[in-house]
Amino acid sequence: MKSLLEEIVKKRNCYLLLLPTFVLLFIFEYYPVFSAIYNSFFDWDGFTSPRYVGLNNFIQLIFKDPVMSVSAKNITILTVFRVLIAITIPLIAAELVFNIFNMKIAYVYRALFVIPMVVPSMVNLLVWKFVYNPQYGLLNKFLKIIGLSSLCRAWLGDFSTTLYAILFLGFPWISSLWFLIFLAGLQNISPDIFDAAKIDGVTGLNRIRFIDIPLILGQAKLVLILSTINALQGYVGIMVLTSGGPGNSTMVPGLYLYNNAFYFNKMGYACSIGVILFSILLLLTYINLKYIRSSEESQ
Amino acid sequence: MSKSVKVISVVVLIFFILGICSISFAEKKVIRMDAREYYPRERLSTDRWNPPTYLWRLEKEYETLHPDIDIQFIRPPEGMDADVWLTTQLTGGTTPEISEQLFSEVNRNAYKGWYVDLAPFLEKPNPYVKDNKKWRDIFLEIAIATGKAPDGKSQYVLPIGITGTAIFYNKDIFKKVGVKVPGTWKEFIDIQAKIKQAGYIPFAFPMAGEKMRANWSLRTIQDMILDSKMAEIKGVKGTVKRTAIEASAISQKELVQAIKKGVYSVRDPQWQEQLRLFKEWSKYWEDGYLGVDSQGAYMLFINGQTAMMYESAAQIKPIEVDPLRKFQYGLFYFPRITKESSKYATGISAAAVGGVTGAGAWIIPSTTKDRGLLNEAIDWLMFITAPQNYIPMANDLGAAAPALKARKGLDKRLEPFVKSLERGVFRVESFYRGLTREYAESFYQILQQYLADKLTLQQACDQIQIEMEKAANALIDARPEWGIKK
Repeated sequence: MKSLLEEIVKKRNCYLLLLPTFVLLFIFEYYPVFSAIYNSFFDWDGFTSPRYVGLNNFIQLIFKDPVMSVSAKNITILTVFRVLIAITIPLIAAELVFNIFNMKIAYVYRALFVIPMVVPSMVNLLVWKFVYNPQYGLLNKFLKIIGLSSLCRAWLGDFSTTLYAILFLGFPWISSLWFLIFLAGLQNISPDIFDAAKIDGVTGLNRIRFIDIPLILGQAKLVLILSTINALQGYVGIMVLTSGGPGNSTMVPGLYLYNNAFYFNKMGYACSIGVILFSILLLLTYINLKYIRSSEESQ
Repeated sequence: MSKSVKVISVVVLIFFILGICSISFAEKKVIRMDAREYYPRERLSTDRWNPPTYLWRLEKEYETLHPDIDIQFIRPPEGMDADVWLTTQLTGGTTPEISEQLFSEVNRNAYKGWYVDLAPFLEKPNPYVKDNKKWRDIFLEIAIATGKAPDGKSQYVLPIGITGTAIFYNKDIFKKVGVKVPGTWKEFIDIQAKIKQAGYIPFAFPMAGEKMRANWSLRTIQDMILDSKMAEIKGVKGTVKRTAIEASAISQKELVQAIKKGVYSVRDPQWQEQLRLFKEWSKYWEDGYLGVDSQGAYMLFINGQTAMMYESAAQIKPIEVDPLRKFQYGLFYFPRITKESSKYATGISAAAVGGVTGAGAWIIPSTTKDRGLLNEAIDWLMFITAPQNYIPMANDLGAAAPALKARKGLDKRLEPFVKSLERGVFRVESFYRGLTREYAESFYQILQQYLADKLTLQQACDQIQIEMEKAANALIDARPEWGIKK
């Protein structure tokens, strides 16, 4: 202990330089989490004195709130779909680009996949809103052109299609970030390994299955964690496109939290939704870290 | 003196000089105004009509008179619910010195101490109005009355934008189909059937995004259907007259009492009648109306695809000047429900939807006082509300008539909306402002499910009743002074 203290004193300048980062991290990242946990035990409108209600918010939320049940079902479907998409489609795109031998063409494709990253997400969402517009939308127009008018509908106004319309958002689902992470992982594999695999006759899909995927499992794990967090917390797209409707057919916990906090002024209740989301994410991240191991970690 | 001490001294000196400079630069007092609809901006290439700019002119004039004041205009972020934005600002104490909020929301939050009471200032003279003894004298009484807090004394909001609603119709389609402006609900439904038969979409009705059109319609229908029950709901004998202030004939407290007594009940077939009529009407709306927002409905109308839409005075200027419009348009008021359409109808005319609820419901948050800018904010508000300033500003926006006694120079196109208020506005309202926001949200979600045949009328009403009772109980908890038992 003494030696640790001596070490800190000795390198005090370095620690002092780190201090502002930690202070800011605590104020803006950790404090809100602890504050949310604390406030989740209160009935609080954000302004007047909070009233302690124990576990009431959680009991109400888990056992008595029908909107939360629908939200939980919706977010489960959305998360499973989005995570599956996140770890497959960008990987396929990365493999395709990685296997282009002409460096110039590979560079062009890489740029094309990354450019959408700079388009503001709001613009993207408004484009999709237009695509789904029942009267002027691209999708219905396209269906009419190809003679499938019977399939035309109000994609965001029909209870039976809204959630699927939300799932389809962002098609062809090649997230620039996930794509770059997978591509970086592939580029990091030593060429010697590929040469050895080639000599052993491991090529094509077999190479992807037995060489590429095991060696980029670290990246896949990262994408898995981040996409799960994104999917579970995400609500902006739904807020812009449907506001959780029609009815509650596209309501998700993030949007429900937002509505409770800023629309219904039920801060304590909103905090309890946040705490539950946080706990689920923590658990999923723990499971991911503990049970999914990359090749380096296995060694 | 060592070198490091010299360096530190120089740095401290620089900061000291910069500090003095910043003090002299900061001499001007900044008044930020959330100007909302009046927010001035340049016309963009995508605009189809001129945006408001008049506040820039007033700003310049005012800053010439008061060189120590810097007026800045802001507005809620694009795409964000303005009221949610304002709530976060009020909660965080970061609200601009002047903002805008609907009287019902202000009254809902009044007990939180968020607003400055404007009542004492209204008794003082407005120096920008000639011979004015009391500022309040320049406003129509309806403005003062609407802005009055539930305690009957305080005035936390100064609502001065008179608005109203009307059904806008495409005269060309009406002529082609051979139908006339309807006076009763039966005629209204009949002409829509004919218009539909002729291959047009009768009505553009937005049911996605903001919930105004459904609320306007239901408030109006409910007022006619429950006409015979109003006195019972209010808990008095005789009749309950309409006033010019929304839902003021029956107060929130009286509504909650009526809910608790079961007098105002969703299980009552008379109450349910409004939902039945609303759904009957929905047969004539555009396909996929649950996914169409107000902008989408407007586009359907302006492009000549639908024969009618339900809009407020705020759309007069756009419709007048929109280059997309290739037809003549007209206005008519919401039709009267008669015995032909419902056994509960008494034949009373449709109530107006509107009042002093249009653009320009000014509030001063209490944080303005904490910042020492209250007098400056009041003075700027006095300046802009002077008739010679406010009337041209309102004309420039073209969305709401100012609730000022002076009428000289007022845009004539806004007159039908002001006139609509003569019928009085709806007396009771539970869907939107009458109870809690949470109830309003739940109600709308259930209504959407009912319209989409996901719920029967009975199922929908059972669910609404549960939510309504929850809301009534929440209000009883929040207002112990009412003395109503749960």
